[in-house]
Amino acid sequence: MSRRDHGSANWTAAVRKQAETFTWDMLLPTEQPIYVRSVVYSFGALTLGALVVVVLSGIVLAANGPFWWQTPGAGAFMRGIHYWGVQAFFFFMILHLTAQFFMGSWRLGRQGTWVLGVLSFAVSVVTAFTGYLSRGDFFSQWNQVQSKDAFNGAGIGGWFNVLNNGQIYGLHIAVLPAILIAMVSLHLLLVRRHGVVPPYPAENERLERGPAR
Amino acid sequence: MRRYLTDPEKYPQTRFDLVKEAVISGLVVLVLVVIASAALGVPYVKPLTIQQVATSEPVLFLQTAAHELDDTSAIAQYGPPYNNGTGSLQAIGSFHPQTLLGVTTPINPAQVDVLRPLSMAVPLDPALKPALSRWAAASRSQQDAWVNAYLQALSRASAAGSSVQVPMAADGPVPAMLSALRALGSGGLMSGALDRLNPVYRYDVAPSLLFLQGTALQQMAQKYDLLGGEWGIMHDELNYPGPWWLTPYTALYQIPPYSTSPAGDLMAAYSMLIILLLLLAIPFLPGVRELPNKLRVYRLVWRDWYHSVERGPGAATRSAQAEQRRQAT
Ligand code: HEM
Repeated sequence: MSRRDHGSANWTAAVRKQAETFTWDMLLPTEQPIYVRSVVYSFGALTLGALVVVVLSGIVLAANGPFWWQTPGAGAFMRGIHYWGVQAFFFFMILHLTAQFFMGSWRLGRQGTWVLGVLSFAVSVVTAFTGYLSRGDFFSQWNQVQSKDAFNGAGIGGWFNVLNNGQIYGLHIAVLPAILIAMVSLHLLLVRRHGVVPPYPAENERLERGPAR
Repeated sequence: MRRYLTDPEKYPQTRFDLVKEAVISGLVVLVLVVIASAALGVPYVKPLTIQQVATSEPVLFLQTAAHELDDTSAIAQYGPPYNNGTGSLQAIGSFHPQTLLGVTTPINPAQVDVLRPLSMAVPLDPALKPALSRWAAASRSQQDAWVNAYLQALSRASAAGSSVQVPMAADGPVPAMLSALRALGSGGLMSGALDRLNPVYRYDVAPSLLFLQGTALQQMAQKYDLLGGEWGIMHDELNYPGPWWLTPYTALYQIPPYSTSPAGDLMAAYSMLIILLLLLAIPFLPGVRELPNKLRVYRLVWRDWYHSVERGPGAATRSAQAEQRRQAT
C-alpha cells in the first residue's frame, strides 16, 4: 500500500485509522475495571441525562414558540422542565468537574478529555446565558441591558449583540447547542477510547513504583 | 492504542451495562425535573413596556425623551458599538477592545427614539408638523437652550397619576413634541415605532430597550434586588435560583478594582478568560497537576479498591514483594 493510505501526516487517513480501531465494545463496554465503583462515576452520566432532557424540552419549546412558553399552562410547564433541567445540568456538571479534578482524571493521556470538558463547561455557560436572554420577561430585559456593557467592554459586543433577540435566540437554539453537542460527543468518545482512568497507586504499590505521575 | 486501555491483567473486570446506566441516569433526571417543574413552577415577571412608563411615570418618560432629543442621554454618549462617543468606553490604559469592531449597530437616539416616531405620528396628529419644522430649522444651540429650559420646567412639574402640568418656559416646540411622543407611548404605539432598525425583521429591540435602560428599568430592578452591587444578574429571581453558575464572574463585581473602576466590565471579562485558560491548562501545569495526588481526596472515591489492594487477601505478600524489589534495586 502506498504511504498515502497509512501516513499519519494525512488527517483523513488518521480519522480512518481511528474508525478502524474504535470498536462498539469500547463505546458500550460490557465490563469495567473493578475500581469503577463509586457514586462519582454517575455524575457524568447524570450530566448527560440532564443535557438530553434540556435538549428535548428545548426542541418542544422552539417548536411552539415564545408566546406558548410565556403563557401559563402546558407552555409554562415545559419551560419549567427546561429550566429545572438546566439547574440539574449545571449541578451535576460541577460535581462531575470537581470529582474529575480530585481523581486527576487527565492522567495517562487523558488531557484531551479534560480540555473538552472545560470547553463544554464554557460553552454551556454562554448557552444558558443566551437562554436567560431569550425568555422574554423582565429578567431578560434586565440582563440584556446589563450585560451589553460587559460584552461591549470586552470587545465582542460589536458582533454578539445581546439587544438583538433574533441573533441571541438563534445562537441559543441552534448554533451553541450544536457546538456543545459536538464537544460532548467527542468528550465521551475520548472517555471510551481511553477507558476509565485507573486509581493512583496504592500505598504498597508506591514503594515499588515511586510517586505517581 | 493498546497503551490507553486499562490493563485487564492488573485490574480485574466486573460486568457492567453502560446502556442501562445511561438510561437510568436520564430517567432519574427526568423525574426530578418534572416534579420540580410541576411543584415549583418557573420564574416569570412581566416585561417592562414603554407604555407602562409613559402612563405611570410621566415625568420620567418626558425627562428620558428630552435627554434623547438633546443627545445628552447615556446612549447618545455611549461609544461603540452604537456611536463614536466615549461615555461608556472602557479602557485599561490604551487597551480598549471595545473600539475593535467599530460602530456596528449605529444608534442615533434623537432620531430613532424621538424624531422618527414623531414624524410617523404626523398623519395622526397634523398639529405636530409645525413643531417639528421649527425644531429642524433651529440651530444646535437654540435646540440645546430649548431642551434645557424644558428640563428645568419639568423639574417643577406637578404630576397627578398619568397627567402632568409642565410650567411655561422658553422651550419652543419641545413641550408639543414630547407630549405628542408621550401620547404615542401611553397609547402603546411607541415601541413599534422604535424597533424598526429593520422594518421587516423586528428582532433587534435595541431602540426600545435603550430608551428604557436608564432610570425606568433600574427602578424596577431595585424592586427585585437585581442591581450589580447586589450580585446583579445572578441574583435569585423571585425565590428561584438565578444563573448561579456565574458566581465566580459576578463575585468579581463585588470587590475592587472591578467594583470601582469604570473599566470593571473589561477587567472582569478578561479575568474570566484567564481563569478559563488556567482551568484548561491544569493537566499541563507541573505542580498544579500533582495537586490531586497530594490532596488524596481520591482515596474516598476509590476506597474499596485501596482497601482490597492494601488490606485484602494477598496485600501483605504484594507489599513484601514490592519492598524486596525496592531493596534489590
Ligand atoms: C457537558 C457536560 C459534560 C458531560 C455531559 C460529561 C459527561 C461525561 C461522562 C458521561 C463521563 C464518563 C463517566 C464519568 O466518569 O463520570 C465523563 C468523563 C470525564 N469527564 Fe466529563 N462531562 C461533561 C463535562 C466535563 C467537564 C466540565 C470536565 C472537566 C473540566 C470533564 C472532565 C471529564 C474527564 C477528565 C473524564 C474522564 C474520566 C475518566 O477517564 O475516568 N467533563 N464525562
